[in-house]
Amino acid sequence: MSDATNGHPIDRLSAYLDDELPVADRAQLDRHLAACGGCREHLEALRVLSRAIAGEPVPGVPGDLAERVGRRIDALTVVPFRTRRFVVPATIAATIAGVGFLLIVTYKQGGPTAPILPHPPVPEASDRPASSGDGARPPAPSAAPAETTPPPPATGRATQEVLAKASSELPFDGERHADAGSITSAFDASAEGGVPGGVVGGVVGGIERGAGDVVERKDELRARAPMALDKSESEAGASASAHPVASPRDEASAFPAPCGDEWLDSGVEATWETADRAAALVGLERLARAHGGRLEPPGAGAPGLAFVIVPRSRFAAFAAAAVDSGMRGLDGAVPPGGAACIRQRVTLRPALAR
Amino acid sequence: MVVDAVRGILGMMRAGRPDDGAPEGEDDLVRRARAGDRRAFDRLVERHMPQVWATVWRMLRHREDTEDVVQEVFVTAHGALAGFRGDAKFSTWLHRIATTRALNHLERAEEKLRRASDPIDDDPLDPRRSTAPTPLRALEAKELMRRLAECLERLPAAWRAVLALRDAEEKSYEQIAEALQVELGTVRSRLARARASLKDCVEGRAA
Repeated sequence: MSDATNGHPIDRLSAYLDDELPVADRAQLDRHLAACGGCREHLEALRVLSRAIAGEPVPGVPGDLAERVGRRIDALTVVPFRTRRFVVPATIAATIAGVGFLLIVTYKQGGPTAPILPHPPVPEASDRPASSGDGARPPAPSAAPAETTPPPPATGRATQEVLAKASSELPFDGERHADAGSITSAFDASAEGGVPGGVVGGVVGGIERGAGDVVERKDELRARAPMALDKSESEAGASASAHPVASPRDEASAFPAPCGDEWLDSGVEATWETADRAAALVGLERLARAHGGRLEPPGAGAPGLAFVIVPRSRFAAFAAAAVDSGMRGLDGAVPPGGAACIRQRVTLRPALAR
Repeated sequence: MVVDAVRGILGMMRAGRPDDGAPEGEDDLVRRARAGDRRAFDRLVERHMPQVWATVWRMLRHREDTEDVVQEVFVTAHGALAGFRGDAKFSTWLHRIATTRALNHLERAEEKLRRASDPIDDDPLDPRRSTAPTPLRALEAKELMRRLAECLERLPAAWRAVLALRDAEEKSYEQIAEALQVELGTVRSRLARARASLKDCVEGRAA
């Protein structure tokens, strides 16, 4: 297509229409249009098309689209495991009290004199590996959820057994988040009473037995981030910041991580300038999870270096999302090879003060 | 009743904060969303959903694909909030994610469809049309819109993007360049070529 056909500046009519020409060029085009009927007609055609595009009706937004967005985000969000160090919000306490009341009323196995369950059936600290002494670090639940829990009172034991059974039946996948629905159905199948599924899901979601390694790491990341969900997490996070997050490889989890140990380096270096490294790590993990992968957070020796491992088929999309979020150096090219996953090295650099 | 009450409590837990009824500015919502306030992010979704939907639809022109991509836009935005530094408006940042996602989607789809149909710039003369071109001014409004819709769907993804951003959303060339992450000159040339090809297609002319 010729840009300027026979001296007619057709190619500049588009910018003229949008008033995006330099002043001198516009003046020149004004003079030409005054003398050229063909170009005026061409300009008018462009104007008609522009108005038609602007006036073209757009289908209405589906009424449930926002809700679907919320559900997808929910599916990618792991409910953090709250330790006794954290202040239990009033809402959680109310939910626990409600569960206890309903258990007394509807659950028959515990007997008429069984006490109310005072708190979630959390494994005792003595059953877990010794921590460094910082109470803020969430305890690592055992890989076999049922074996270390001490016998609680009659009603509590029944609840413990049911929840342990339910948690062992969790459909853990690459995302490894508690499926409240599965827990609910398992509970309902075991209990005689009709405890509302939403109640069980809410309580068990805070327990997350069996997914402790993932939750622990994520909880540490959240605890270190100033953008913690509530003040209690921020307070705990201040003392937890001195402790590097354990690599998931170190924990020899009973559950296979997304991609396992088979990955190929992307071959490019990505950098992310951020004023808040902890928040950036949280964001990086979210990005990884959103694309079916995982984050390998920085180790003690290299606090600014993290790795994201995602399935090969999702790498391009991950790279595009990472660029959208401010990361640099990624081109989304998938290196050839047989590995099922790609590992992307990400260097977190402090952003310049603005 | 108990179930509803407990679900309400769980909903509040998920929201993170009770609603105090105070008016919410965009900056406040963004700040809270970045801090992990899910309810604030949900409010941002509600606010920006219509514009994101329109932007994506004008580029994809397919309802189901638009639903998928719009969801992807907001899920991506939620995951990338930590990287939003506030250098630009939140809407601008979100818009860039939307156009990128939509373009990615189109480019993936175009590869599959390339053998099935010729792009408008390769062969704008559609044998199904009348061979006699019709000047735009001679077209009735209804026929114009019908041809416009048909021709827009045949445009390359990059051209459709600039037309949607310029004509439908009245973005400046600079804003378009920022949204698409291209040079200003590229925006100018793409618009010129897109409009010229669109005009030829709607009028039924050969290149």
